[in-house]
Amino acid sequence: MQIILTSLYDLGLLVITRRLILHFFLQPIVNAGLSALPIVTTVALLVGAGVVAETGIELPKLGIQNLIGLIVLHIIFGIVGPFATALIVTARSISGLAVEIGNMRVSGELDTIEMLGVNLSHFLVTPRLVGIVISNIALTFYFGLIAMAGGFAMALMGLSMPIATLARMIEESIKLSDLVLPVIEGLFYGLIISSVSVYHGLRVGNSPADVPRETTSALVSALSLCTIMLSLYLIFSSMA
Amino acid sequence: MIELQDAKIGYEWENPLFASLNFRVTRCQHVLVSGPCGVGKSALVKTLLGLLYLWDGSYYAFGRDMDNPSAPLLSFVRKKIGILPDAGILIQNLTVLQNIALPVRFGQFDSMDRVRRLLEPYLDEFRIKDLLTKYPSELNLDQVKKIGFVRALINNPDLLILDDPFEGLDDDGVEILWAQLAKINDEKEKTILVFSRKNMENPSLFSHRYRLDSGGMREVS
Repeated sequence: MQIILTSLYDLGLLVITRRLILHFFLQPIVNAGLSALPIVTTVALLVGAGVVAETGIELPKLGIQNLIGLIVLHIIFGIVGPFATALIVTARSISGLAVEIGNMRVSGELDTIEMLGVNLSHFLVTPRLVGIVISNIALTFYFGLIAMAGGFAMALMGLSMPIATLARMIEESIKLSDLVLPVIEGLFYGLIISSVSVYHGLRVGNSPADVPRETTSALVSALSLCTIMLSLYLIFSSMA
Repeated sequence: MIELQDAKIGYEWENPLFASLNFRVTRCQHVLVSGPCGVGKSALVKTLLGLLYLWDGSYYAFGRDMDNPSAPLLSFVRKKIGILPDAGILIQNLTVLQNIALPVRFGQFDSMDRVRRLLEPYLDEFRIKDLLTKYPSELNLDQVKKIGFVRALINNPDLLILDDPFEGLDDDGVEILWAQLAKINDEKEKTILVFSRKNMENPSLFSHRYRLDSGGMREVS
């Protein structure tokens, strides 16, 4: 929590004082976001196709085919999309970031940065935290759009329901909150992933053996926290 | 400029490297502190730069009390010091130019144009013009030390701290570094604090020489 609050404060400070060095914020976005596009696209297409196939075949059997649009949107944009994106970003970024920061600690680079009078948060933590959060939000939204495309492809191939029916049901069900929700969830998942990886990277001591141990801890912690967040969201959204 | 009084220094309170260290450097002094490996030279450097806090005693830097220093005070002191550390000299994921720019660009948030202007006089002198776009992994230790030294100088610091600057340098590098130190010595404007595990071949450059061992620090003639 301290990492998140410090980074947000430093981000505000950098913006207000016009000391934001854009290049250092863009690099983590490229690393965590753009380079994850192929895997996110693949997973989203498959998930979208699977969700539409399942709902298109099973829900009519239960007589609730009128809820297909609502359920598809809720599953893709509200539950599976943000969580699956968070898992992909976790798998790709956590180990890289924890290892990078951990190795810098072992080699003495973090001490050097501080001794040079450079604020570690401005230089290292805030750009990575902001980069991962922005990437995760963008990827979550992208996941939802591509998953819908996968769903329409499934419908186009006639494996679930007619594409026109699916399009009409989604058009009737879609609300602004369906598009805002993935942004909010992506923000929280992004904060969890980035702060956990930075925290464990900074926890590395002077031994190289600390690096893999902290990397594993970071992965386990992030996966656990993301799952807890998903559970909390499901509980509170069902109560609302 | 810097003064340690009865300073208890070390990584652990129970097991300090120095139980009561007294050390003073005044403006424009050129000081050599020599001592064997593991005696605590780098710990002393880290203490001077506020990375290690004192367990006991007092430390004044540039007239400021460094007991439990605030972040702005640490920043103020560090910006007045040019440092060549003995380990982790360059940041591996930055190019040479970005490494040199680090204290100016991220410490003072000045532009890259200013960095290039400040760097210009050192490019030929240190023969690093062709290295600017390279990454540290492409350099040898000699080049790494030279670049670290340029970075320490680029901000025109009041105090220059060099931790084992000659270790790993080839003859050419040693010559360049001595020449640079001699130049600074002639200008009589900067305070220099050199930590070395070896006795220097050219002690005349230093106004004060100290020997550091487990018993503490003593001035040698």
